[in-house]
Amino acid sequence: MTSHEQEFAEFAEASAPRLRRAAFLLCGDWHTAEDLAQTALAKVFVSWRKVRRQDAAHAYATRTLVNSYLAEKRLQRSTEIITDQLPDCPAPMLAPETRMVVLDALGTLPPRSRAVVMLRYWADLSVDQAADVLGCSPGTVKTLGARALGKLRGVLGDALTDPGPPRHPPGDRHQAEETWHG
Amino acid sequence: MDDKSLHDLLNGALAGEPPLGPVAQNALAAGIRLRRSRRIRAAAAATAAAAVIAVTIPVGLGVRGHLAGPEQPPGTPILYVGTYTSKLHTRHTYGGTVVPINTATNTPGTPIQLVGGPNSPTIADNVGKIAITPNGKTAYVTTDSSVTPVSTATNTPGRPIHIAPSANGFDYPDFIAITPDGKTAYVASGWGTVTPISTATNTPGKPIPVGSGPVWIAITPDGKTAYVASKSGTVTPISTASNTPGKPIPVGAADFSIAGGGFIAITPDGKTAYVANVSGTVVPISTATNTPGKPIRVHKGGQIWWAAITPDGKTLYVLTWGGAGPNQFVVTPISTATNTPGKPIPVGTTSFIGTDIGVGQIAITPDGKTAYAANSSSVTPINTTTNTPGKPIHIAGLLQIAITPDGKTVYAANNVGTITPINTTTNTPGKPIHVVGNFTQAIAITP
Repeated sequence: MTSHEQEFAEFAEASAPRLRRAAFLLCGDWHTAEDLAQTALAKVFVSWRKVRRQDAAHAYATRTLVNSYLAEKRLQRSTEIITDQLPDCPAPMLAPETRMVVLDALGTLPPRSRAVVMLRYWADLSVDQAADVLGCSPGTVKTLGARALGKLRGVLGDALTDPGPPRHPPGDRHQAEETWHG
Repeated sequence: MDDKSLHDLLNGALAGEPPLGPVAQNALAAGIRLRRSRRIRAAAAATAAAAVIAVTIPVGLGVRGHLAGPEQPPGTPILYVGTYTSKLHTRHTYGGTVVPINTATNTPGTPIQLVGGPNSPTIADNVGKIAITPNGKTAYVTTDSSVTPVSTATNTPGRPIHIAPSANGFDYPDFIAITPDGKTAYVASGWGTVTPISTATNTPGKPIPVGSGPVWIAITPDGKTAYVASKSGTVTPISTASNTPGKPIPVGAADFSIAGGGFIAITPDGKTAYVANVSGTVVPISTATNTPGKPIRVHKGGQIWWAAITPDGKTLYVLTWGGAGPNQFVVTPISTATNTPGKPIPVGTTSFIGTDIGVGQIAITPDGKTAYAANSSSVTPINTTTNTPGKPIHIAGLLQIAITPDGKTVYAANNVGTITPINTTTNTPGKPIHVVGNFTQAIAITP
C-alpha cells in the first residue's frame, strides 16, 4: 500500500459509518446505503491527492455520496421495466414504530428534497453548505427544504410535537409557507 | 416539528443499523480500479483518435480492446482469468470477461467479452467457473445463464450454450467439470440439475436431476463416474456413459446459508472420493460400492473451505476456518491410508469471511512437494513432507489461486483485477498483472 492509499484507507475507515448512515436516510435500505457509501469513497479515492490537499475530504465525500444517489435515481427512472405482473413479496409491514413512519415519510419525498432533509436536518449543514453539496442555489435549497418539511409534517404531523418554525429567516418563511400550501 | 425534533427523528430512523461490512477496503479496491479504468479509457480515446487521423488504420477489435493482445508462442500455457465488474462499484460495467494471460511473459491479452443468455443478451453479468479441455484447445466459461466455449488458439468466444433454467428461473450455471477424455462437460446449475454438454458439437444434453443446490462436480480418473455434491447434503454419482444418476449418497448435513457446500477430491487411483462438508466433516466414499464410510471430524466448530489431494494420493489436505480460533484458517492433513487427521497447520487469519470476498483454497504443486493454502489476505506454502507452513505471502483481497503445469508459478488473483505471480522456488511475489474487471471469479491454466 502506498502512503496515499494508507491515508485514504484511514479516512475511509473513519468516515464509512457516517456516510452509510447518511446514505441510509437517502435510500432507506442498508444494503444500498453501504453500496452508495462505497461508491462515494471509491470516487473520493480517484481525486484523493486533490481532496486531501484542500483538507475537504469529508465535504467532498458527502457531495459525492449525494450525487451518486441522485445519479442512481435518474438512472433507475430510465431503466424501469413496465410489467403487468407484480413480483411476489411479503405484505407491507405496518410497523407501529415511529422509525418506520419516518422512513415511509422520507420515501414519499423526491430525491433532491430528501437529500436536502438529510443535509440540513441530520448533517446540520447550513443552507449555503447544502447548496454547495447539491450544486444549486441557496434559494433552491430553501424551497426544496420547505416543500419537504411541509410534506413530512403532513405525514408525520400527529406523531410529533407542535411544529415550530424551521431554521429559516423570517422573510424566507413566508415564501416557504406559500410553497407548502401551493 | 422543529429542527431538533426532526434531527432526533432522523437519528431514530437509523435504529437497527446492521454491522458495517468492509466498506473501506472495498472502496479502496474499487477506487484503484476506477482510477485505472479512467486512465485506460483516456488511452483508448487517444488510440481511437489516432486511428481516425490515420484513416488507413482499421478500427477493429485490436483498437477497441483495452489492452493490446500479444501473440501466444505455441506450447506456452495460457492463464485464463474470468472477471466481472460490479455496476455499483464503478458505474460502468464490463460485465463478465475472460482475460488470457501469457504465462511465459505474464502479459495479458485482449479481454474476451462474454455474452449472457436471455437475462443479459449483450453482456454476461458474471463469470462462474472456467474449465479447460484436457487437450487444452477449448476453455469453457460459465456465465449467469450460459456456457461459452473459448478457442484457446485464437482466444475467440464461440456461440454461448444456453442452459435451460428450472421452474424457479434462478438457475445459474456455475460449476463445470470436463471428463478426462474431453468429450463431455458437466455443468451444475441452480437448484438441482447437471447438464452434460457434448464438446464436439457444443450442444447441451438432457438435464440430469441431482440433489438440490449442486456445488461441486468431480469425475473419476477413468472418466466413468461424475460425483456431484449438493448443498442438500448428498452426493449423486452419474454414470457418464448413460448420463443417468445413481442413488444419492448421504454425506451429512450441509448448510444452505454458507457459500461453498461440499468439495470432492478423488484419489488418483479412483478408489475413494472424499467429500468435505462445509459443516466440518469429511466423508470417504468407496467408488466401487458408492457407500459412505465413517465421517472424519476435522476441526470441531470449523467450516471447511477447500479440500485437495496430493498427486501420490497419500494425503488429503483440508482447509478449515474458525475452528481453531476466531477467523483462524488451518490446514489439516488426513492420511488416506488410515483416514485419520494429523496436526492442524495454521495458515493465517482473515476477517473478510462471510462477505462476498471470503475465500479459501488449496492448490498442490504437480510434484506434490508444496501445498499452497490461500485465504483472502495471504497465501501460505506448506511443505508436504514435514507439514510445516512457510512464510505467508500477503495478497490483499485474494480470491483465486492456480498453479502452472510445470509447478514453477502460483498465480494469485484478487478483487481489484490484479494477478500476482508467485515464484514457487523462492516463494516471492513477482510484478502484478492488471486486467480488466475487478472481481476475479474464476482462474484456469491450459495444460
